[in-house]
Amino acid sequence: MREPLLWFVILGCLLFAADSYLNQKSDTIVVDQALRERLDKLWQAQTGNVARPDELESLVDTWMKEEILYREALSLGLDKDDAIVRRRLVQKLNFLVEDVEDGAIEKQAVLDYYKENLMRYTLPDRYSFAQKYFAELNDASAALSLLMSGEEVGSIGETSMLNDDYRARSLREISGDFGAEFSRAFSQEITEFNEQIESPQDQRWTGPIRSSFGYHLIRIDEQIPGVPTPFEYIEKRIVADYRQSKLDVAMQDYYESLRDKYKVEFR
Amino acid sequence: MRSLLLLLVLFVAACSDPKGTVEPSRSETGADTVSTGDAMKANPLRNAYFGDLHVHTMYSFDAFIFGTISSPDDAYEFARGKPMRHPGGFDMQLREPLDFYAVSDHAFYLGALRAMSDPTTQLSKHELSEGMDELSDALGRRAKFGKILDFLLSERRLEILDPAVYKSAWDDIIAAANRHNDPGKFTTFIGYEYTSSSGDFENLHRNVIFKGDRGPNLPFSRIDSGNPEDLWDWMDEQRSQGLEALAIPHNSNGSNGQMFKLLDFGGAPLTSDYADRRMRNEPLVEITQVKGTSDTHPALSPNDEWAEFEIMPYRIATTLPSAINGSYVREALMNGIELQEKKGFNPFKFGLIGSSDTHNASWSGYEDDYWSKVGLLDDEPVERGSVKLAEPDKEGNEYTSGYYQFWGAAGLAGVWAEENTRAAIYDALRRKETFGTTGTRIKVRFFAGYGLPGANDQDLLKAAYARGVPMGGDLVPERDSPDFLVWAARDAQGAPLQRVQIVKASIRAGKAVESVFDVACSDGGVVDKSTNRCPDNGSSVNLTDCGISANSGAAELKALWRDPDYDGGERAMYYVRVLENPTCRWSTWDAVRSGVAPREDLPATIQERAWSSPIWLNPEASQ
Repeated sequence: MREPLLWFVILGCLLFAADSYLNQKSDTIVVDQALRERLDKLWQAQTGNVARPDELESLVDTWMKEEILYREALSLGLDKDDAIVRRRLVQKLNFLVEDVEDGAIEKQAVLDYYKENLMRYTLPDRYSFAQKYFAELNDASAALSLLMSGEEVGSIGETSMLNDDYRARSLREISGDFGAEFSRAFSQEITEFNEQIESPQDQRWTGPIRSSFGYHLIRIDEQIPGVPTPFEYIEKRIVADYRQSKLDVAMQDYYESLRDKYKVEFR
Repeated sequence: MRSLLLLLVLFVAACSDPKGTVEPSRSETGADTVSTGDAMKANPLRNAYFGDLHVHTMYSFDAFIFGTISSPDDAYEFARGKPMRHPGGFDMQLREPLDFYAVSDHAFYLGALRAMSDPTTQLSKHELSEGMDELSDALGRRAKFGKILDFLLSERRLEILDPAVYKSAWDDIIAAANRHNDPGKFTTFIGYEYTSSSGDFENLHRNVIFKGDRGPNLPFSRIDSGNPEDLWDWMDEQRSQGLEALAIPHNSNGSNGQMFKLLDFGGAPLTSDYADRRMRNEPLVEITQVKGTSDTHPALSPNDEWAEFEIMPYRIATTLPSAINGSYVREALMNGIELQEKKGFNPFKFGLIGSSDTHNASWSGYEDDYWSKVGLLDDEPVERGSVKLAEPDKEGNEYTSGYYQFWGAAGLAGVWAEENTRAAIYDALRRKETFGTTGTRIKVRFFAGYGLPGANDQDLLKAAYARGVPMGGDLVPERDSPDFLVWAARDAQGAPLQRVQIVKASIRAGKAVESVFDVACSDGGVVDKSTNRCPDNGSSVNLTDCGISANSGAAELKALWRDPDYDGGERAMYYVRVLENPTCRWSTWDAVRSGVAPREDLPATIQERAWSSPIWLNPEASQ
């Protein structure tokens, strides 16, 4: 069985041991060929030229000075309580975990993830409806009575920039068209709509419902159920989401394993 | 560690494979229904559609280094309402999907930086690519960006211009636009940004928007020429080969007076030919976006109490001051009619839109949910200067110094079109039947004509189209003032409307002069005839929680107006400005959420607004 976390911990311990061994003499600074090459490469990136011997010597001097000051700063504990150092180290640790988790991914696992999280990949239900607008509540209520008595609908309602008919709008879009208060009331009307679907259209006017503009009588005509987007269409996105969810879990597991090592006192 | 980071970058790159997302076709998304737009059938009286024609993705050299890995596909999915992950690790989502969207990446080094960070490419071997796979915090990114920008503007710039990288990015942008265009529901445009500047960061940027489903082999960029007049010639050439496009200048505010100067690029006086070429190719201007609003400046419009609004005083991407004259829209429109009067041509007869210029691939126009626009550089309140630094910086600044505090949560392009299709929306852009907003979804109608019906007439719109001209149009005036019909509706999820104004420019003693008239007031207010102002409607904002007063403001405002100062048959230009009740500015929202006081040297509130395209009255019959 693949146990990335275990491997990570073992690897980490080995590195730590090796590091402690190599750094036994912390007052020794090694300037080797690898370092010189690294400095030279940086120099090239900044200036576009290969460092001349005297330039390289000066680079090594600068590096050495920095390294000594860095070690001294560490031994004085200047890295403690520094928000930038702290954040950067935590970030590096995150990268380590992400790297361990960056293995091959099995399609079946992604498919399962898709099925478990189907709601995330499903379009919301949508609705077609008609509306009549009134600035005042009283006028809207009076109009509803007229409608119920079989009045011609075309002559009812006040002019506004709103439309008479809306087709296939999701609740989010309805919220955009009329405001959140309206869309909340609308979603309650949906329940009723599903119960009385058999009654004649003209008798299905309800309201008044309040919006950002005023008051509305509405008639819901159709509910279009949401459909999940097929896996093949958005496979890449699902893979990315799946990876992210695995990373979140791995990071949490790692944190919890560390958390046990520490005793935290709340005072 | 280096190799781990490298793997991480690879992994991230793999996740953002542009071919990864496929929009389900109509049959899969459920029957033949409409998901955006108000009506299924074409509406001859036209619907308002909202969109953003200025969007940068991972292919823009700057966006990529700011941390943006979202592709054009991701951008279009976001516009249709799906969530997108910000590089800072939080989700962004629109409250209401947009009707149209155009990815407009910088053609200048298109895709180059992304290729530099990809170790499998030739470009990644270039010395400038050193460290591209190790970018982490804002500071490092800003430093690297500065270094790269210097290189791109140096003699050696062509070293990192890889034609294959350029071409494949451009082809992907075209393919993504065509993949996501969904007639009747959601419109996309093939587009790009022409990123030129003159002198020292004097912004001359334009977005080029193509009409159809084909683009040129490669865009015309600043590498081809920094002179926008050469762009127009190129566009004329493309048009003659059947490739229709228009260009939209933006951030004139940061142009140091260059965008609307009264000389051509080479410094010669403007000519009738210049005006023809400019207007043939640039019928619109972006009046507002994240990097400030370019309507007017208090120094230009001392009698306009609303001129002091989201002024961004610098040249783009610098803290160098930007000269005022030649940098603002209203002054240019005024100079235009003055030139028309004196010389018989008008190079500034443009309509108006807003857009965002987001570099996160995601439109960012909500004051109360603001992620600004440059990725990891300004996604935290402290970084964008709305919340104090933990301790003052070396110069003693309490806030991050720079220019992000002057940026705003804006804007949107509005069009009046028969239906939500490329053809209908493009035609609306061409005839300037457009308006711009600061991010709010105010809808505004504007007509001028003689004998328009009363504002409450049942067939108002039909009559207005039949007897008058809509925004963006021309009218031959008679002796008396025409009737102006103005009609605005609030954003259902924003603040209610406070007032509607008409901004007028006409010629007095040979000079263009401006005046601002309130024409409709909320809460039953009546315009004072001596001041042309509405009474105060009493609206207020609570700065401790950003709550707004519930009992003031209007859902709709409508007026039929005549110009009381109209001078028999004169030349004039009019546009509408609609103002919402005040609401908290994004910087105040940041402060409130962080539990600190809003920054004192920034306005705590703003009045979100919309501007219509102008209507021009031209005494000569043929314009």
